[in-house]
Amino acid sequence: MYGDLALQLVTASHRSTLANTAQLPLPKYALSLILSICLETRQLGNSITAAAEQHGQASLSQDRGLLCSLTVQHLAARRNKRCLLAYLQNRVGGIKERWWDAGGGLAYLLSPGTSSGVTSEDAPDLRSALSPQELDFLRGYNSLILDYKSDFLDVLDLTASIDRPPSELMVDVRVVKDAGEVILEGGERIDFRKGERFRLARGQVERLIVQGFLEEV
Amino acid sequence: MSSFFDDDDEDESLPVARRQAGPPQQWGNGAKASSSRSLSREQSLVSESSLEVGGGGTGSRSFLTRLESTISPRRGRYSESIGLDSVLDGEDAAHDIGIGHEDNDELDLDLDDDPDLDDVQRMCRVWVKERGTVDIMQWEGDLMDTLFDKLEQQAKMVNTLRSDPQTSEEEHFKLVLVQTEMERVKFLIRSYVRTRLSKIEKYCQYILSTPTVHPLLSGAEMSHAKRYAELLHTHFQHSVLDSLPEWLRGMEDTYGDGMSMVAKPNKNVPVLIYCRKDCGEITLEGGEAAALAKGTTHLVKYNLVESWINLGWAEVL
Repeated sequence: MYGDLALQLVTASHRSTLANTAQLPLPKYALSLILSICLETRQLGNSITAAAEQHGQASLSQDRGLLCSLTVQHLAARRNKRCLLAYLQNRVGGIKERWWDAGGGLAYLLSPGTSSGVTSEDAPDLRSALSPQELDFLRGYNSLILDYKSDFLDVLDLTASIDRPPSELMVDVRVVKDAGEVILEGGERIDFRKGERFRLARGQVERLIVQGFLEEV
Repeated sequence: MSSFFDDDDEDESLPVARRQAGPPQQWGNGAKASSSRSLSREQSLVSESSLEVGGGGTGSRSFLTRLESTISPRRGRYSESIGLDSVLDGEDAAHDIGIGHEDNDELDLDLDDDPDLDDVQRMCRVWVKERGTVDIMQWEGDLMDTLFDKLEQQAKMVNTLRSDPQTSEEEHFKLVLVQTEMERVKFLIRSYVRTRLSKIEKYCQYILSTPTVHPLLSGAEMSHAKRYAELLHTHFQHSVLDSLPEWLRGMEDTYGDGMSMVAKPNKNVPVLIYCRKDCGEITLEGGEAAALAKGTTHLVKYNLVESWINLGWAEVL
């Protein structure tokens, strides 16, 4: 039936919360399904044009069966389009959310092994889950926001966390992953080795916390 | 729920921090010489007078008063520009949004133009309003500029004072409070800007195609909306639209069920409002009339009270 594949695409994406939960890995881009939906839609389009050319305007108003089949095909084609775009839009939302969650660290987001904070062997990392077009979108979005936030950058970092208002200036952190030597804002150098604990200004290490090198105690 | 600081366990310290956060100009003069001594000289002068003001307080109260007097030597001028006199009674949290106090009603009447509101309080209101509504609100450019200026000045002062070896232990403690407060203000701004960004991205097509919305956005936001719409369009085109028949490639179709591809803010969502003025009556969908009297709280559909919210007569909670 027309539209079955599209239905499959959207119901899967609707039921699964994966795309919208930034902590979980993004499901892989359903390339083959999308291609077959596009193909189906193209075939529908061709058959509509062919029928219209073959019969012309006059017979269309008389032949009810033809009219009916054309309407169905037309609606199916439009529905396919809508489903495809809904799927893409849903993923775009998830991608943006992940970008913000990672504090705008594009390189970190795309680096292998860090699939949105959860590192497990079977989960694909974000880069392989994205289609090339989505990757382009993510890069474009990245530069878009960087442009926007550069207006504010001398005073505040727009991409820092907004989960809850800061209540303390200092924060106790434990190093969960080796981060090497990091030069902080004040010019101090700190060698972050796994297992060590520090008490530092939140603003300075916020990014490292977001990226999972440090953990709040 | 009226205040964003309500959940805080260090309310005690907030009025102090806020006060410190306030007066960059006046304090700046003192700080330029980076002389904590000249400050403390003034402190001894002023602490008497301000002790009179807060007189008879408990131990911690007088400590607060003392702290305050060190930081804002010329209280008169300071409170004139920042208007935090009201905080002296230590109930600052509720004043942030300005509700929940019956004796506070007079003060609330002037709403956003209230000269007694400092920038941070005003920012709080703007932030709550932006977050509480589905529609995009007016961009508060002036307020943001002022806040940014103040933040920058304070950051400079804090740095000067921190590197000054003459700064005493007690003053270092105050500096920490100042910095904490700065971080909190930054949080407010960040959240505000990002709320707007997410709205803009969500409704970018609607915004671009509706000229009446344009003046509500700042220039940067407008160009962001444009570029984001382009980006999204390119993405959709490259991903699927290009492989569809040509007559299906549009981005602004309306479907048979009346759904448009252009997402609009849904003004039918309910909002919780608090009436700061008598807003007259509204007609509900069922034909019933509901009176929005001053000081009452209602849960109504946004489009019914939109104009009151924009006027500032009603406040989104």
